[in-house]
Amino acid sequence: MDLTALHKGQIAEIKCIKEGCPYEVKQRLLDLGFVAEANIRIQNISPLGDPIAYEIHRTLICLRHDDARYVQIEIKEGNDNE
Amino acid sequence: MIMSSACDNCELNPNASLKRLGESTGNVHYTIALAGNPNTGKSTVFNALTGLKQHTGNWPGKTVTRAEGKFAYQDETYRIIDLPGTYSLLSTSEDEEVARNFILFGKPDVTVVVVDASRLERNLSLALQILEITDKTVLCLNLMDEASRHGIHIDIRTLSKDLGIPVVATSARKKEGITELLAAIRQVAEGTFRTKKQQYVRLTGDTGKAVEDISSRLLELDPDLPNVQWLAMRLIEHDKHVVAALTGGDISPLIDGPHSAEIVQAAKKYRSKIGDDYRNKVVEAIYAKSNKLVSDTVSSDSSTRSFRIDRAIDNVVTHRFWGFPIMFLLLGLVLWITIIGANYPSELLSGLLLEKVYPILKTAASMLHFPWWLEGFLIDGVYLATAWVIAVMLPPMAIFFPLFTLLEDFGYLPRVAFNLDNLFRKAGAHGKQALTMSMGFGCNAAGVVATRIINSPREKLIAIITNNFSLCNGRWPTQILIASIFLGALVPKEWAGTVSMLAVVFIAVLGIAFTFFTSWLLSKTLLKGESSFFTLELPPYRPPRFFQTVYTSLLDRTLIVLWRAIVFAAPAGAVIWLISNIDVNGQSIALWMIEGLDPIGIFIGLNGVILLAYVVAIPANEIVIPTIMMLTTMVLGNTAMGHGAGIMFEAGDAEIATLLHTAGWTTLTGINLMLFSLLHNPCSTTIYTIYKETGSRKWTTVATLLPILYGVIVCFLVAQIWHLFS
Ligand SMILES: Nc1nc2c(ncn2[C@@H]2O[C@H](COP(=O)(O)OP(=O)(O)OP(=O)(O)O)[C@@H](O)[C@H]2O)c(=O)[nH]1
Ligand SMILES: [Mg+2]
Repeated sequence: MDLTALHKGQIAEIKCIKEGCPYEVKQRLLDLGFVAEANIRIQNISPLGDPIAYEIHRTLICLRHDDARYVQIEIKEGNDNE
Repeated sequence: MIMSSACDNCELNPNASLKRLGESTGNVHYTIALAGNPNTGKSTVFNALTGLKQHTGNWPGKTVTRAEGKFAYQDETYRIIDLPGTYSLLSTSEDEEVARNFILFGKPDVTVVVVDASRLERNLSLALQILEITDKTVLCLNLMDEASRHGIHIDIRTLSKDLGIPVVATSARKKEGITELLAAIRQVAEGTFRTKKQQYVRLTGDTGKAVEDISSRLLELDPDLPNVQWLAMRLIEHDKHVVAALTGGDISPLIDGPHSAEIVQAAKKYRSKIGDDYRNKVVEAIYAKSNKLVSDTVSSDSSTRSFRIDRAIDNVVTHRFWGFPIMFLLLGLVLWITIIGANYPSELLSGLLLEKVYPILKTAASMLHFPWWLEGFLIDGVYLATAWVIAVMLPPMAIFFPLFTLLEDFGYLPRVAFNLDNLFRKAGAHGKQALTMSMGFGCNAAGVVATRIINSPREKLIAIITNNFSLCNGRWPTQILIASIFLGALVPKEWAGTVSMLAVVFIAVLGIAFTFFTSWLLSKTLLKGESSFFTLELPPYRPPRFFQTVYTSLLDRTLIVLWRAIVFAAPAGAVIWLISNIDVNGQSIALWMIEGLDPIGIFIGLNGVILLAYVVAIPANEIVIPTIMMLTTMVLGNTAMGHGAGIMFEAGDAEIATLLHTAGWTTLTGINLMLFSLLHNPCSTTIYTIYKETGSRKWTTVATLLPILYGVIVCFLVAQIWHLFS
């Protein structure tokens, strides 16, 4: 599954950046620490539903839906809060 | 050389030997680079060392170009460079290249990596990359005060041992730890601290083999290469700058064209063999190392109160229902305080400059027997225009900018970008445009400069062109005055204030609507394209230091913007005086122009005086109203109110109302003037800034003319609708 399937309250582990992700986007995501084994969870959803602020490596990073779908994840714990 | 004594590192002593030299010139012994993630306090450290006033702010990307300063410490002079913040040195965006090229090719004697002590994982990943390039490095653990508030403890000794470089804890904002930082910089520069070059990032598998092979080929040619693993990594990724530097002999004098071509070829082969996975592996290895360092040296308690407070604030200000109302409320509050607060000092200043100083100057001029034209030109023209701008402009700016800076330092602005991004995305623009748009409410020129944080050139241009639709400080007084004369007067007295306030807010919101509309229009036509990649880090909330903020934003922003406005207002005053006093064929140039412009003006529901005022007042929006009044008096020939041709004057609201009504102004004229004040060309300061930022005449012209076009169309339509119903 990808990052867009994550719900508030869940914690996931990043698996990889998907194939087909534009090079520039992939570079950025990696720079920001979207690497395998990193834990990620949703901190805030913007009032209009997009973008979403994720907590990763103790920082808050906002990604748009279009870019978040390139991040492959696996849910580790927690269930839907919504 | 004198032996360094124990006192050199003593906390009590050496700060006295720090001399902040600002931008002075002279011999330099050592060059220091300040690198690090965005928003870790690099500029704050820079300011503490040099005594300069680089802008700092609680959002990532505050510094966009590198700044230089100097300081002297214990007899040595240091040059220090404040680099833009970067997340890594592996990518190829513009701001990162500034930083990376300097560390790599600028060959600083010491690189100070400023890191956020509360967020070490990500920060150390950059530090590790820098260490791959150079071990002449000092790690500055900044924001220690915040880290201890968050309940984070760092074992500094172990970290220093693990990295093989000095690690210094600082709280740059409080100037804590700066002495120790200086000592560490000096030790590394002079080589008294032997930094240990080691292999920080361990690559395995195919990636590891590839890097090893390229490394050994490089070492064959030059066994002394200091950063061979990093070079190999970059060559395999085919980093253009590194390839060019290698081929050109910039990396090592022993490696030249033919040799390097072979290695570059080999690296290329590896790249196609390992493919896309290569980059993943490298970054994973870096993060694995940085996680290991953190787990060995940092203990933390993420349930501390300060964390919970940060989250609670975020939950409110980005709330599905409350997010937007709070945003408008805060904007409204800042504007309200500015408008109300500026009233009194404005009156005081104009009382002083116009009623006290002006007559004194006049008397002095007549005593010195100035010819009438010189006196008129200098005092009635240049002096009065400048005095008006100071009286009208200084108080709102002196209130608005500090308030805005407080919000900025608190960390709220990135949240605005977060809330509004979806709209900007739909308009084909960049989410960070929300930041530059908010800056525009203070001053459009400042807003245009701030667009440097937007990486994509297309989206940066959109942000520049649309910035003028943020109603700047210089235009608020016009809006408020006209709203109260023409709209407030339509309703019962007790409602007048509210109605005019709402009308002004409506104009500001209309400006935001035009920002979105124009962004959308541009990305469908002249600047075709999809909204590009957007990432934004939301910084932690930082309680601003009130007085410091007020003080520096007064000095840094207000005075600079004011100075530029004065520079432009003085010549405008001269022009107004000249066109009103030079007669051609029996009447003044101004009158000829007004007569010429009148038909066009009436056609779009304005009049010739207003149009001429906007032509004359290009330098500063603040002088629009005084120019209109002066010109109106001249047209009416009513010298009972004015002071004479080409002389601006101060008059109360009621007098202005009478004057304008006599000149045939209607409610329509008032409404259209408010609209035109929003939708007309940027002031000349902004136009000049746009030209400097874009370097393009074409885009400067578009940014200048597009709003006028809007203004004419909108005013025309409103006039037509108005005539239809009345
Ligand atoms: N509490 C605290 N705040 C600090 C400290 N150092 C800097 N700050 C604040 O952190 C914010 C960022 O500081 P800057 O100096 O602008 O950071 P920068 O690294 O230059 O940021 P960029 O130019 O965006 O890369 C500002 O609001 C500073 O006032 C510190 O030691 N303690
Ligand atoms: Mg900075």
